[in-house]
Amino acid sequence: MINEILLILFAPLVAGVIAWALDVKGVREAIGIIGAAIPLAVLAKLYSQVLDEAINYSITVSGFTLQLQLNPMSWYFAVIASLVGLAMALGMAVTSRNSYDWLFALMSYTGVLGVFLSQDFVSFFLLWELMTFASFMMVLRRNRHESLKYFVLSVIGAYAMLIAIGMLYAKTGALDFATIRQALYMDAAMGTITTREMAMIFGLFLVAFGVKAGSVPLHVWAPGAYSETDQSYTAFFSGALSKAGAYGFLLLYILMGYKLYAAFGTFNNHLVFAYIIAWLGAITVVVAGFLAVLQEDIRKLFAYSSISQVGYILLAFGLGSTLGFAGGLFHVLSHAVFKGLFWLVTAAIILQTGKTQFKDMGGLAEKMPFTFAMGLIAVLSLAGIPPTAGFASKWLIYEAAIQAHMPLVAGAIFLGSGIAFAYVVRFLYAVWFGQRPSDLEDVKEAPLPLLIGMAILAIPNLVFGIAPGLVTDYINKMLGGEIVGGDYYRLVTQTGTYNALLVTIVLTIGLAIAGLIYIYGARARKVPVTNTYQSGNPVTEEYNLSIRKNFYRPLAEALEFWLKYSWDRFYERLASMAEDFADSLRESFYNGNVQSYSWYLAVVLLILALWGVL
Amino acid sequence: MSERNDDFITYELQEFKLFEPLFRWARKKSLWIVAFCTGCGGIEMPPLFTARYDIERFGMMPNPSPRMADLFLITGYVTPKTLKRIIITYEMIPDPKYIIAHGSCPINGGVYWDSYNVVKQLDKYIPIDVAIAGCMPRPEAVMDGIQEIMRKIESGEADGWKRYRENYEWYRKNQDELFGEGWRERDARRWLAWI
Repeated sequence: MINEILLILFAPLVAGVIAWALDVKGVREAIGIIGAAIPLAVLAKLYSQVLDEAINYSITVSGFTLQLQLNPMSWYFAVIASLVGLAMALGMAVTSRNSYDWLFALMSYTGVLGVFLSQDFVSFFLLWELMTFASFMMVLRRNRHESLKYFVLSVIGAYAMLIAIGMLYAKTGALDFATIRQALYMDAAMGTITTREMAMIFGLFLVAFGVKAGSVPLHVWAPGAYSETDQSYTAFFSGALSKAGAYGFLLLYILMGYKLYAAFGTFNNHLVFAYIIAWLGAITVVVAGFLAVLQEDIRKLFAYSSISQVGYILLAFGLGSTLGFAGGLFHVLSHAVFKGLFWLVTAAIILQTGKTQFKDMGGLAEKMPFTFAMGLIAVLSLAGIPPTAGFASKWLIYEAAIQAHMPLVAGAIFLGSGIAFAYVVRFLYAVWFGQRPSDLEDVKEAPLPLLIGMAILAIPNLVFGIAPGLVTDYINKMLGGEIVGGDYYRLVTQTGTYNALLVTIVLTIGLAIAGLIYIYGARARKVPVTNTYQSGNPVTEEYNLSIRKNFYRPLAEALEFWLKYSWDRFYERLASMAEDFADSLRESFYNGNVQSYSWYLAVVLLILALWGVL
Repeated sequence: MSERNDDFITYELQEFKLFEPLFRWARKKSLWIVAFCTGCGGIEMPPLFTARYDIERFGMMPNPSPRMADLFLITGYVTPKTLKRIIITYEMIPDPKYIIAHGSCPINGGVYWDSYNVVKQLDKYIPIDVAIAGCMPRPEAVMDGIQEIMRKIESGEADGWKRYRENYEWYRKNQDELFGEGWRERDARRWLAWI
């Protein structure tokens, strides 16, 4: 029998290749969904086995030993990725246009799973590159400029990682995680690796994982890449693929936590390297949040929102306490499920209306009620409203930030949550409520596979919101220790208790009472949207009564000074400078003048002569 | 209520008929006024709410939204152009709703009795519950009118909103005679060319 790990890892890729090669409409969708479902099924089957003993697989290829391992932590990440992957496949069954999409979407699925399962840097890097390449190909199909931006930044990240791996290899002589970890643990006491070298390794890894996680200032690829692709795929791109970056930050702790502590020491009782990560996260949360609020395109809004939410995960990991890790790991799950859900809702909206700008939408809740309900669950979860998974995970992060005595970082995440509420309200208002443009009268409910995909992601949002103990229980086992106490329905930390079931019951009773008052309060009648108070003036459908543009204009005006500075423009300018430089090099050196080529020869000979070679 | 007017809320709560006296008492004790000032009477409104006469002690509050209001003060002469807005605002107020006509102009045109552009008898277009004569009436007179509407609410005599619903054809006919059929759409569309 083939090893389960290989089955998990290569089922999507094989399915993708078959779907691409067959390219029969209907069949390729079925194969793709089966391929995407296999990892989830196998992972679910292995749940109890993994907790007892890690499952290993290793193979020697071209002199490198590739080690893959399914341990509690990689199981957690892999199961999240495969959950989103399955939802993506169901969504793609209606939104994908050709087999090309299936090949690369499922290839990146394999890449992400591989990153989580790898236990050495060779396979980690190989699968990281596979993931990057496949997601780049998904974007390339739609928009060349955005895909190249993503690709160049990813390549910078990947090769920063390669240099860091090379440095680690030079210092420790090992490529597998266990040996590197051991060697750096020993080195923390001996100190053969200098602080400067460690700073360089740390910085390079920060760039590598920061690019994938989209932390400011390396986030510029995300808005373009997340928008310019199949939106069902973006559910995976933003829901699972960005977690590879977050996982990388976790890996930094696992591999070199002690050494980094020994090299950099502490600052105000915080680990210095963790402090840097926490502030990267905090800045990402706030900056991306503000940018999300000001977007006029539904895809751009969710792209910045995704950057902002991954910032929470980095921030939680940066707190450096076990509670911080628990909160961050929980947020990995809840971000994956609510952001995946958001992107599937977006896919449904774009599929059914063909529009992406807020100014073209409105009043769709009547036309797509189920999609609206799913979008509402995602909104509640993202804004952190109980009883959803988003509340439980954010609550843990708050608790951790307060316990870590980081008031400014905690303030940044509170601010970030407020902004998050502002932009989801923008989404609710502009897409679902208000007056419906006349060209959206024929919009229909999203097709069934997409709805099933949404339901797959909506159910965990509610289940893990009402019973957050299911997740924290696993995280406790994973991190080894009673980090978050309580039972299935209650979370208990040192400073607080959150009883999700009680909150749910109280909320339900409250809603029931409010419902009774509403039902018996008055005979409600349905009025047309134009029967609204325009200061007593008569209005008709020809008037646009909803604010569809510049919804947060006062905020934009208040931020005017800060918005003058843009990382996006900075990178664009840097790129054009590099291009100009390359042009000038070509023009000045390859100038077609034979005499200048002989001069180059003369100069080289002169140098050699001065060196004493000749 | 009658089928022909199902555009309007049938307000009476059959389930809570027993509590009707309680509801009436509650209604008269918190009359919220839609702040729609017409004519010269608009300037006579603020003294009512401010420190000297202070009708807030009766639980009255000026309010910018018709959906939250139940008392509509017509404070002076009404031109046909304003009447359109008054009718739209009045229809937007949920039942039960009451109108106090304030000053002589809404009653019989007042000094503008021979104007081509003032509605002489407001009661033909929307139902008035209490009328206060005077030009302008003193705040004491207005407060007297308020006491009167409170008494009428308690006794159930203030039934303008019922009359409007039951006799809607008649009111509608009068409105259409004044403005012409389809005046709402026409009036709304007249600005579209100028956008």
